[in-house]
Amino acid sequence: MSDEQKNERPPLSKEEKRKVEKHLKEVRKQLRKNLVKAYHGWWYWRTTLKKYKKLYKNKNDINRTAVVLMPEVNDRDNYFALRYLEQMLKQHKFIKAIILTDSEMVEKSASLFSKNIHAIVRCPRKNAEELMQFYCLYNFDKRFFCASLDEPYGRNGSRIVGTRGITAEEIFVIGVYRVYPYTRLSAPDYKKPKTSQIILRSVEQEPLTDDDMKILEFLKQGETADDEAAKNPPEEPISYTAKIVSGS
Amino acid sequence: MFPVLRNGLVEICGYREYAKFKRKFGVNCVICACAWEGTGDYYICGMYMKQWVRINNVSDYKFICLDSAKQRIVELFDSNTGKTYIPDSINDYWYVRWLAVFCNIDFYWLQYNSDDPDLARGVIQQVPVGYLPGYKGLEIVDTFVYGGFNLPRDIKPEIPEFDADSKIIDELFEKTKAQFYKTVLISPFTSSLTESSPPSELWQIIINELINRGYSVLTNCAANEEPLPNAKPILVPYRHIVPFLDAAGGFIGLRSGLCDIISTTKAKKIILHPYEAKYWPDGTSLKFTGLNHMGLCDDAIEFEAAPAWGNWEQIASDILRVFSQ
Repeated sequence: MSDEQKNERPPLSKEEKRKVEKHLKEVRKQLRKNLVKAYHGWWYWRTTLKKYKKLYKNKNDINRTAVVLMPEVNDRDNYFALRYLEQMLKQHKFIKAIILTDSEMVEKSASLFSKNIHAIVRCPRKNAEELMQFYCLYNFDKRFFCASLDEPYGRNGSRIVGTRGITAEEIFVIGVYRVYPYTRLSAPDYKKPKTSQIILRSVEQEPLTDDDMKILEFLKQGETADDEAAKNPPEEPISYTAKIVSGS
Repeated sequence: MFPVLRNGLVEICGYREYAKFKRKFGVNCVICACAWEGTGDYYICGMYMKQWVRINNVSDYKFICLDSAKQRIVELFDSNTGKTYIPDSINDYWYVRWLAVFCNIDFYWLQYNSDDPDLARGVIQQVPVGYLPGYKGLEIVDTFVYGGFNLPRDIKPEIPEFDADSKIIDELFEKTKAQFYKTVLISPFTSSLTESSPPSELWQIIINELINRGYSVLTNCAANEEPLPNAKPILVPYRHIVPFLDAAGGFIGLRSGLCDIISTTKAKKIILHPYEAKYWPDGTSLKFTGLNHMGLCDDAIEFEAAPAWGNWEQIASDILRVFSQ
């Protein structure tokens, strides 16, 4: 193959070589750091599964348990993760889920969404990053779901939101949870603890606490998805024509 | 622990290739890539590289190509001339891709897809097949422009330049004894949908009837491909293919990247979409890769096959109606 075809270049100057080596040193440093992080992520995964396996009577049930990491305190993604949890478990034939989260809201409201939560584990951001770094090393376990549109690094699901009228909710359900066909679910009713009264969003039955208000606010994520879909109608394709040049 | 070590080694292999590239091309030269074997993928990338480079202030880049044929596709767009690179072993760049998923380096995979189960952290899965391709009309150019390139919604692609050198076009017609404006070029091969080829009878009926109607019929094929019976083989270089087709009059192709490249020809262009697909859900080929739907043209005549080409006879009949006596 000719040099022209291979698009070869003249050798780098001394200064250019120095810059390259400096850059590569930074990349090596990053690689080492991320490998150590991934190792810690592997360890965290291993110890978490071991700990919650003990809670099962039948130890093999851990193999049919989804592990859902909610890495952020982002209400939108956490709401989607909880709202469609039951569908995800059914689609993938899991019996229960272990939720890893640093969000108080998730801890307080998870039971509203599903009765099949084996455990909710407080997972600080540091552990979440280590687990996600391990996930970036390879897809280590089919039970693991990283419940975020934009994490781990490189997922960039938000880039597709709005294209052809596709909502964040649809991308989450179909792309992150891999549940199909997609059927939109509205928010569950909020049943106030220690009472059998169901509280409707627009009617106050008794004074609401701060916690109640926060949970109701969280449940409103379901309404926001409707507004988003209306704002993002399908788009027209861009057209163009090629140019023909006369022969050389 | 073994998979952790094994995949750690993959990252180290990726670093080694990345370092080799940087030591050859310099610290400012970024690496751009798409699926190595996808002809259409290179074409789509070629369309948007100029805009991406401008918006991201990229001072230097190399687009990794599998071979010289793919290189010629990317360089159909003038701004990419001299910006392609064919590595000694393209498979080594798979490791660089893994490294780019693991560390923040300047390697850009310009299509949004997850085409490896172990790299399945994207939302648009293709291996194993997910259900976002084709969903609400999400088509493949969308996944490049908004997902991979991350360009604004009003961006316009670069226009490719084809060479209408009449000497070369005449030679192609002369070599095959084809007729101007009464020749149909058939492209029955595809690299990514090999399990979905139509029955050979479909091609035979079309070829024989076109010949009866006075048409010249050619098969677009490389040296290692078998031409269709009664359709002479020809390999039209990419740079001349649109002017060649403008002079020929007709194109019938199984959905492939070549269809993207010829999309702007004025010739009658018929595209056959199989039902079964390897990289997107069955039955979504038209929604995901239809030329008209992608905006590459607005005059392609596109057919979608029934499962297992159950409607091939109807398709053959409809195609023949397009080419009158």
